[in-house]
Amino acid sequence: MHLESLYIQQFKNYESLQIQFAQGLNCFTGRNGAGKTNILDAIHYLSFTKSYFNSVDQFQAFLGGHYFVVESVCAQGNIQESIRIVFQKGIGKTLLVNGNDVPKFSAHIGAIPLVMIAPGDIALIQETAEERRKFIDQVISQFDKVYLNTLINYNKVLDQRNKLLKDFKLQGGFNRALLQTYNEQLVQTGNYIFTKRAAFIEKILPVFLSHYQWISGPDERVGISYESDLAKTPFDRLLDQTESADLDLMRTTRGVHRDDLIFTLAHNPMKKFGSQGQQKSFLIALKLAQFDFLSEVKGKKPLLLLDDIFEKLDQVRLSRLFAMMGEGKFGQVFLTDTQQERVKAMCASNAIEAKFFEIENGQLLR
Amino acid sequence: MNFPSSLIEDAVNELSKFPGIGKKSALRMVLFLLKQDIPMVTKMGESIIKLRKKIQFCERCHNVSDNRVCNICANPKRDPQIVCVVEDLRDVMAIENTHQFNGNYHVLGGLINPIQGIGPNQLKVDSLIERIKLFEIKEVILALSATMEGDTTAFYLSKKITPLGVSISAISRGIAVGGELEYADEITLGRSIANRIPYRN
Repeated sequence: MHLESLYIQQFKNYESLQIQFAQGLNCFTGRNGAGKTNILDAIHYLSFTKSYFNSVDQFQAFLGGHYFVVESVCAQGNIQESIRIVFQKGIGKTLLVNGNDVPKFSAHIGAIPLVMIAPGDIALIQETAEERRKFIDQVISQFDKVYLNTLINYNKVLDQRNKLLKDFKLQGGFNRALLQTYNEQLVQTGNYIFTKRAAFIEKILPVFLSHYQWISGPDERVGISYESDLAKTPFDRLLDQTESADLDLMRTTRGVHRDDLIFTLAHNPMKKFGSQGQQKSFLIALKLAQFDFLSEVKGKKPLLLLDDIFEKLDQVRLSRLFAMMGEGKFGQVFLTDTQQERVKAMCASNAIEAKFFEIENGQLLR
Repeated sequence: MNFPSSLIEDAVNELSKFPGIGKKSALRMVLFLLKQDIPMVTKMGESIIKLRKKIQFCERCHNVSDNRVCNICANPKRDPQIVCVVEDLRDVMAIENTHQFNGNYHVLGGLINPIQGIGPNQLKVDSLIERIKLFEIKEVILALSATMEGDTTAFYLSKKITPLGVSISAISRGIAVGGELEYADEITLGRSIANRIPYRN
C-alpha cells in the first residue's frame, strides 16, 4: 500500500501544493519553519482524520482561514482509492472515500495504517502513565474494535461506580447489591482489557528487544513490563479488598485504569537513567515494533513517518536505521530533515533510492 | 422576542416548556389557538388539566391507568404469573403493539444511573420484589435497553430476584429481522456469533 499523490489547499502554511510521491523513501528538506512537518501532518490526517500535534481542526487552516482540504490517492496493487478530507469553519469536517461520504470517522481508522516517529514521542517516557495507556489503547484499537468498545464500557461503568461511592459517603444509604453489580461489570470488562493488553505486550516485547539491540548494539539491556493491579490479585477479590478504601476516598482505587508500562534500562527507570539518545532509540524501537505488529495484523506495511530523526540520533544508530530501510523492511517512508546533503549521503551509502523535495516557505522548490 | 400583548407572552412562555418546542413554534401554536373559537380551545385546555389531575398509576405494575388497577393487569385473559419488566410506558406500548405477549408488565420508571441521580430507591424495584412474592410469579422477563445502564439494571434485578426462585429471562439481542448481515455493526455481530442459539425450523 502506498500514497501516489498528495494535494493540500489552505492547510497550515500551504496555500496549495501538489506532490507526486515515490513508492519508497520520500525526503522533505528545508529550513526550520519551512513546512516539512506539515506535509507529514497532512498524511497523518489521511489516516487518522486528525492532526498528530493539535486536535483543533480550525488551527490547521492557512493563516487562520476558514477551510482546508487534504486529498490523496492511495494505491494497493491495482486498486486505487481517493481520500479527501475537507474542513469548513462552522460546518465541520467531512471525509470522502472515492467520493462517498463516510459519516463515521472511526470506520476509516485502520484503513491506512500509519506509524509516526516524532520528537514529541518523548512524552511516552517523560509523562504520566496516562500517555502510555493511550499508546497501547491506540495501537490495539487500530485493529480490534471489540477492544475499543469494551474500553469505552469500562470507563462508563467506572464513572457510574465512582458517582455511587460518592453518593454513599455524602448521602448515606449503602447498597451492597448495587455496588456488587458495578463490581461484576468492572471485572468482566476489566479482565478482558487486561488479557488483551498483556497479550499485546507479550507479543510486541521480543520484536521491540531485537529492534533496540539492532539500533543500539547488544551492550544496552532494556525492558518493558506491563504493570497492572490485576496481575497479582484477581480483580473481583481486589475490589472486595479495597471496598472500604474506595468508600472512604469516593473513587475506585484499583483496576486497569491504573495500568502502566515500565520502561527500564539495566533494571533502572528509563526516564531517570536513560540518556537522550538512549531514550530516543528506545522510542524508535518501540515504534518499529508497533510497525511490525501492525504489518502482521493488517497484512500490509503501514506508512512510516520519520520527523526530524537526524537531530536526536547519533551516527551509529542512524546508519542502522537506514540499513534496515536498505534491506527493504519498510514500505513507503516519509522523512524530514534540515540538511539535504546528509540525508543524500546516508541514502547513497545504503543504496536507497529516494525522492527529494526541497521546501521553502510553504512552497515546493523542486 | 417582543410581544404586543402580555397574554400572548405568557402563553408562549408556557408552551415553550414542551420538549422540542422553542419560542417560535410556541408563537405559531398561540396564533393557531387565537384563530379557533372559544369552546374548542376550552375543551383542549380542560383535557390537559383533566389528564394531569385524574391520571393514576396502576398499583400493581405502575403503568398509567384510568383506574386503580390498569386494563392489562385487570384482564382475566392475561397470565398474571409472567411479568415483563420495562423502563417506561413507551416500552409497554411497543411490546403491546407486537401482540406477542400475554402476561403482565412492571414499569420501573427509569434505569439505574448514579450520575443522573437515579438509584434503585428511585425506581419501582421493591414493589417488584413484593409482587413476585405476593402473586406467586413464575417467570420474570427483563426487557431493558441494550445499553450499559440497561445492563446494570438487569444485573441488579437478577441479583435481587434470584434468591426468590423464579425463572429469569432476558429478551434476545442481535441481528435485526430483515437486516442484512453486512450492515450489522461489528460489536452486535460479534456478540450474535458468541451467543448463537441452536437452529430450529
